Amino acid sequence: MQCDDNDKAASPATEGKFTFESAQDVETLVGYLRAITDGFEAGSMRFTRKDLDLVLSPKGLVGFAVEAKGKEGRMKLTLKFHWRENVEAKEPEEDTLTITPGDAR
Amino acid sequence: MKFLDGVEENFRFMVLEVTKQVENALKVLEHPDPGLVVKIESRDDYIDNLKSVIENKCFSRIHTGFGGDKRAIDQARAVNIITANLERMADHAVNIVMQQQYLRDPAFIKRYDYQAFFAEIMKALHLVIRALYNQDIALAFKICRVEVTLDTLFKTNFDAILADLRKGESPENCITCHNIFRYLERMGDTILNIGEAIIFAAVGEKFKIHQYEALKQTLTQLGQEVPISDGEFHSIWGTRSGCRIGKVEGTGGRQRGSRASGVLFKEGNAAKLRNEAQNINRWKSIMPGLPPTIQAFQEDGDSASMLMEYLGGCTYQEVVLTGAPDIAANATFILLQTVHQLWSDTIRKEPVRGGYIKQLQSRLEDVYRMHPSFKTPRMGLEGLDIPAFEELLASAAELEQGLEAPFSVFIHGDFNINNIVYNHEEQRIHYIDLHRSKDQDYVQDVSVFLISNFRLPVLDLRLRERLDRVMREFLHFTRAFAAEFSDDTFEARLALGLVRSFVTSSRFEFNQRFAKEMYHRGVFLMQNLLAHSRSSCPWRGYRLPEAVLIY
Repeated sequence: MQCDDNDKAASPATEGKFTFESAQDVETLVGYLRAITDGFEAGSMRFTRKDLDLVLSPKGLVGFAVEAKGKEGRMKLTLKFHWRENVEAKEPEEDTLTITPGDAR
Repeated sequence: MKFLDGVEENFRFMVLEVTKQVENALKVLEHPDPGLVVKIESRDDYIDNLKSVIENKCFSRIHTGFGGDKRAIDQARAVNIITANLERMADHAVNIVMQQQYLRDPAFIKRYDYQAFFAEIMKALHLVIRALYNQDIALAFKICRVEVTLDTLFKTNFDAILADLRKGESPENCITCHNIFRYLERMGDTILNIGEAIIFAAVGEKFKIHQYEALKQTLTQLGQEVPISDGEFHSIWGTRSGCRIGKVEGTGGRQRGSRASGVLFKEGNAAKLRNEAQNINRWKSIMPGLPPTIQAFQEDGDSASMLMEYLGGCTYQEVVLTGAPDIAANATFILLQTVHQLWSDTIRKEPVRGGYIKQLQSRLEDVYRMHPSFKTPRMGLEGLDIPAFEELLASAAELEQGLEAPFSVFIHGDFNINNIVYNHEEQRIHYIDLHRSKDQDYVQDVSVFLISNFRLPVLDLRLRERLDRVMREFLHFTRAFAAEFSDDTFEARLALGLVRSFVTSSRFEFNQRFAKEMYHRGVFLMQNLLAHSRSSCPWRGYRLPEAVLIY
């Protein structure tokens, strides 16, 4: 059991939330975008923090939305992606309620 | 509808009067006329009175309780809700003509599209009586959808007004126009309430008098006493396919084995029911016991009624969603076996065309009405070309020209998973709702089957996985069937069938997010097909991206 727990701690999580906000110059920004593009190409991208190691593995159909906005010189570009992972998880059989006849006594 | 005795006339007047108020409000906007404004104001009192009269009658009926008849009480409540909303709509008409007087330049409003609002509102008002009296859910949905259109119109006009304000147009004119549009938008809210009240009145409602008569006649012909009492007579489905269906419980003693637990009564358009009866007979000759048996059929001019065996068991949909995993797996196994036999037995080696994109195009207006944003224009993103939705459709339609099914089978025609009944005791499958059966491309049934799983509003991941599994297994099975009969274009036709089903299903989907998910998948599949077509590789090599079925 001990060994299992260690394994779990070592492998990245698929649940959790990672947020990062910053200001960047365009050159640095391109580096971030490239990292994300590489992640899509490689099929996975990791997001880490002291208490989190989250891996996203985009595959199958990916929802993609672009919003570009300009108003009085305040510009905004939003990119959004969403997809579903673990599509073949097994239904836990033990969830079935089974009723068996009891002892007549 | 006994509750309408004494209310019916008042109610008709109510609809008529409100319609007139709305029409007159439009007239005032077109040609300001103080005389007409006075008239509108004075009619408002009459409408208020009418509303009180109807309200009193409805309440007294609700309180006397119709002898505990819940349906009648529900209908009285629905009439009351509709009346209250009509009265509110009339108030908005008055508000609009009041606002109109504040326009410094009465012609100013003509730069905006107020006519479109009025056209939509009138459309909904014209449907109210028919939808309520016929308990017509399809019409009620049409009424509800008007609200969505009005909201979109409001946004467009609101933006235009804002732009004019920024340009320095007269604030008096702009703000007054905005107020007028706000009232028009609020009329939309009242319309939605009306549509919902009609659905409330219709769902689970008992048959109309003439349907009751038709059933009585049909049963009498069978030499049976009319076995109907309140408790025995359920309306189990609405009017989605234009027929009303009810179930009459078995009266005991006449039962044949476990199947005959009652009879099902259907009443509706004669041609449609006759067609269904013919289909049932053909299904019976192909596989006895697959369809319900017809116990009586009676035509009366344009309408007909039919008594069918009521099949025990539950729908495949219920099994998939609520059955124990082994039972669900077993139901799927039996279903696939049955389908394989039916397809193999009815195969005709003559090419047929499904015409999926054409089917989609014929329903496009309904899709747009529900989701106007789906009509996307051609766009560009940093040099990348994003085609307009309708351009994609046109290209897909052209591509479809080159794709025909090498053979036909006798298809169900509406192979939704709730049109399949699974009887666990007898270990067999039944087909119901067979008015669309014909010799066609089996892809028609395959795509409808798959999407009827996909579009279930189930978000719970474990249940979703059950649906995924059913879709996966069914797809696997149909792929094997296609290979067995050397159907080289199956995958491409299936993609087209799914495009049709994804996009057209969105017209019944109120959840905007899920509707979009389906629409996007349809668009994705078209682009996927077109990319393959451009590569000029043969269609034999095309494979449907299964990921489209995972949500």
